[in-house]
Amino acid sequence: MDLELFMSISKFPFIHEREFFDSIELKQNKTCLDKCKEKDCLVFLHESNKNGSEYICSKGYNNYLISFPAYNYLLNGLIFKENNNIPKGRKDARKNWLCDKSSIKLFVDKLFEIEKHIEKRVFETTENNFSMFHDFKTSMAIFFNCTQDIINNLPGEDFKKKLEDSDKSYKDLYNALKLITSQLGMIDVILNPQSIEFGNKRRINIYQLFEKIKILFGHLSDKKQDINITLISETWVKDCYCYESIEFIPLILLDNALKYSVKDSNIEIKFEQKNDNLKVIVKNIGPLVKDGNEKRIFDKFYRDESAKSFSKEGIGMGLWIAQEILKKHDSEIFYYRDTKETRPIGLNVFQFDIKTTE
Amino acid sequence: MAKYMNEIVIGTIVSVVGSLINFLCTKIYGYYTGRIKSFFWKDKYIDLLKYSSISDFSEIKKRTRIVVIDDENSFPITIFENEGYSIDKWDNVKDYNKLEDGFYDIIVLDIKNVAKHISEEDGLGVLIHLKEKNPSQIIISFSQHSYDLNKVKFFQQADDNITKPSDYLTIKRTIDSLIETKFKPSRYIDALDNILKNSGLSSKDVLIIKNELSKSIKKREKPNWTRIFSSLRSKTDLNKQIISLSNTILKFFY
Repeated sequence: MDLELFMSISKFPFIHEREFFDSIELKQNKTCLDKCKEKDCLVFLHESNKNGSEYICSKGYNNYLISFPAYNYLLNGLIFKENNNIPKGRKDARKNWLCDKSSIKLFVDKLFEIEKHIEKRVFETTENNFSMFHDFKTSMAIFFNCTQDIINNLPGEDFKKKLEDSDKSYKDLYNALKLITSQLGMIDVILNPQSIEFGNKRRINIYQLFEKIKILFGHLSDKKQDINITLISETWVKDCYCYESIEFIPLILLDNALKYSVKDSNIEIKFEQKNDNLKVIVKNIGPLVKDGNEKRIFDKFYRDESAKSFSKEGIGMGLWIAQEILKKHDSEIFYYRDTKETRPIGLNVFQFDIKTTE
Repeated sequence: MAKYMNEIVIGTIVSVVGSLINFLCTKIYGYYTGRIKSFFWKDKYIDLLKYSSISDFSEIKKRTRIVVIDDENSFPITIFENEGYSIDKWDNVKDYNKLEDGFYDIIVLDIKNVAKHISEEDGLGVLIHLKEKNPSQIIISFSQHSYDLNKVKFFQQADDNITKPSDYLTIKRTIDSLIETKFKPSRYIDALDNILKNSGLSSKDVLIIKNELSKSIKKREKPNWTRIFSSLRSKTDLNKQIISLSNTILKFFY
């Protein structure tokens, strides 16, 4: 549930992303806005993710966390009837903020019902648009067939050899089609995350995948003011046992790195193979994710302010897809930045580990 | 020597009579229990894997019968044919018996508009039914509907998945990998053993079937199923399953 909708229906004042909001029925408690110096409620909001978590702040007021998949809201400055931390005098002065915990719970239940309904409608709308998506895939298939037929008519022992020996333009065309197919596959993941696990796991070399995507993005990086992509590995990178969807990871990380890299910079992809564990580190110089948002950038539809101001492109799905895919491989992706860096541009690091055993 | 003659004769007679009694006992036991025991009272088992099977990939590739059931023309059939694959293309399920009989080793199946005439659930219905009949049948899901939450079952029950559209090299990799990992004699022999074990047939009947297969491999001749099944009291459905699996097994030997 996004901020706009939450604001329009919330009965209680709340905090979202360190900002205090009045509700339509009740303004922010003055203590929270003016008198409280500690603002420890913000720490609680930052550290807690569990829906329904409660917190009594340093001033004795009740705070209640409402957590949706991509948004957290903290109802703040409230006084539950059973709250004995607030002296009677102040309770009387803050009568409007006195409430029943059960009424909060009821309100939250209603919110989740609304959220469910919205999701259902979104799904229905998506389904209605499926036909267009389907038609697009069909056209892509025709495109593929034509391209493959052209390559197949070239001289050579078999299709692979024909493609390898063909002119650069043929290879570019074929690779571009593969890129579009992969991007279509990512839409499948957005609509149906279970599609990550379709098909069998197979032996895939992550280094080679990154290399392939680097070549695919060759044209793009030329356009992006000579951004250089370097792959570094001191040892041989072993194959991983992965679902086909793992190929989206290099696609997403390199696409992001290219999108959010400053002029004439270098994107470095480092592979560290230790026993049966492969660590992949992607570094680039670009806008730094704001403090406290390091985990949120992996939320669905979330784009950090720094990213929005640097590039208009993107809907905030790439990193979410990457995280979902890695979760299905018992892994996780992390974002790191130099915490001492005060300028808006600096070193961004994305890192994940993956097992190279079956 | 003559001194021990009596003992030798008696010993020989005892051994022969003992062996004869043991032999008769195994037969009587077999007659009443339907289980075949060897002279040493061990279950008799014919191991078909002892025969050397074809291991050359290009040869196996040629022998693997593939059918693509898709209402569109998005599968690069011609390229597969050019590269030595034995591949057919159907716009819909035009011969269900052929699928059920295991004529095709790999079925590449679309989910929509391919089997509405035989199943309300279209491709999913075909997949479920074929897998029920023969769990070792290799079926690859090939559909544009991987985004569709209502069709998850189709993709989950298939042996592998090819996203539609996909390029030739990606499709080839999936098919080759299935041929290498799943199109193996041991997998089909295990499947046959399982069917026979759960069929309710006596071990004597099972042995007759396995023996026929063994003979067929050795002599490189087709098994005489009519003769075999006339002496067995197995059901038609079971016979079909046995023939279908046996035909696949024999592909690996001659």
